[in-house]
Amino acid sequence: MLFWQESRICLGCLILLLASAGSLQAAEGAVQLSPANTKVQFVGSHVVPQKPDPNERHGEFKKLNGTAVLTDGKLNSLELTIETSSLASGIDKLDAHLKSPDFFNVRQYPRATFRSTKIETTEPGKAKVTGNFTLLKETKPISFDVSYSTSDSLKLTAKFTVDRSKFGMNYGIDKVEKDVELTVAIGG
Amino acid sequence: MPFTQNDLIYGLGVPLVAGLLLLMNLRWMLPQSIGRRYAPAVAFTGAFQIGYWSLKLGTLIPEGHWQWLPHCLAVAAIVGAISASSDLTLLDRFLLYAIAAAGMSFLLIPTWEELAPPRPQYIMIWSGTVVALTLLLHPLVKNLPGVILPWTFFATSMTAAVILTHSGSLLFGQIGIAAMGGLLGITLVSAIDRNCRSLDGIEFPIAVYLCSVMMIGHVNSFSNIPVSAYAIVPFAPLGLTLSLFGPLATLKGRSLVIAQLLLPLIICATALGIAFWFEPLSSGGEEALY
Repeated sequence: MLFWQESRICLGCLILLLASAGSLQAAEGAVQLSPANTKVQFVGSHVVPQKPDPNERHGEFKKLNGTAVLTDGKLNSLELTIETSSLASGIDKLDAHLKSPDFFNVRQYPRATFRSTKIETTEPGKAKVTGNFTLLKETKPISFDVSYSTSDSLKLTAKFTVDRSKFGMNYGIDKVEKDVELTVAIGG
Repeated sequence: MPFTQNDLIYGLGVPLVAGLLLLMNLRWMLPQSIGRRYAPAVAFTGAFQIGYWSLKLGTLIPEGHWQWLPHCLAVAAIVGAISASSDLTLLDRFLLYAIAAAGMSFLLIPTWEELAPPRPQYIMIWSGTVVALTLLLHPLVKNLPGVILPWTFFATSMTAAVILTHSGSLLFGQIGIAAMGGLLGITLVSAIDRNCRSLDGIEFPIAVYLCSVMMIGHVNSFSNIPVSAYAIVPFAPLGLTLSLFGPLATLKGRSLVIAQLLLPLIICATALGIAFWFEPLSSGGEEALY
């Protein structure tokens, strides 16, 4: 009887230990990014006098992968690879146009990548991420602010704009704004 | 209309004027034997180049397979003019076209792994089609001096431009419009000036252009337009062959003109019908493109 009670206590301890190790794992080391835990969305606006554009276009990339590395509960590095052909706006005709050489040219450039080079903590739970963003044939440094928490598992959000013309995406500059708003959301 | 005023002025208007002036002036300035061979090919490709570069559609050093098109068309103009020499035999012309088309295919056919059919087969099919089309267009160029042939080339290029635009790329639509503008200029000048009615040497650049843009449009498209719509377009001018050889060759006068106008248009309409059947105009119209 005593043996069974001790066994149950030990089993309970083991489960607690594993659970705490699991949550530690989520807050430390490498976190694999996939469509299950990460969303990359974009908003494009037309060149119209009324701002914000009432007909702005929202879309997201359905296929991506990457890694976020956490050290001592802080974001240490961030890498993300997006399959550009997975873009989806909910409008078939728009998707076809965005995938064409006018914009993402997905047959020639099937991937867009981001690799952080520097992450500076600005205040607890906030950081400035700098890295190289490759889109089409161009790789350019970009910086953006992120809010994140690592207490339970990694949760991160970032909203920033990218000037598409700097990456050679120049088509329709007189119709579609150069600045595209990107939102990255990990976890949560 | 998905195109801006700027697109139409520089992409259509300027090539139109360029095609008209180039053909008229080259025929007038060059010696008869040279002008006959060079003027049509140079007028077409020159007008296209002016539209292409005015709208900055590509870069001088190509960054993608389709950006080789203006370079290939420049070569095609020279090959076309040389091949129009009366000293050349059919075998000479065949070899000239085959070597030039094979060389161009290595530049124009994309190197993507997922290309279907695979690149080696694509190169053979594309080059073979260009050579066959050029040889089949040759009797039309020789036997149909007048407005009908340039009008047919114009109508075919317009069909190509519509399908390219409907495929989802306005950039390729602009490329189509540049060629269309040039051919409209050539059609107008051939209607005005009797000296400009022979289009010797134009068949090779026309075949290279039509086969290239339809291939480019197809491989880059994410629309539902089937390959048959793209494949039919380059052959539309061959509809005129039925009015020269075959049962319709006995037609005379107005009936002949109507037949010559309608036959290529039926082929163009078939291609357009297939394209719009499989990829109907969306309810959002052109606004859905942006």
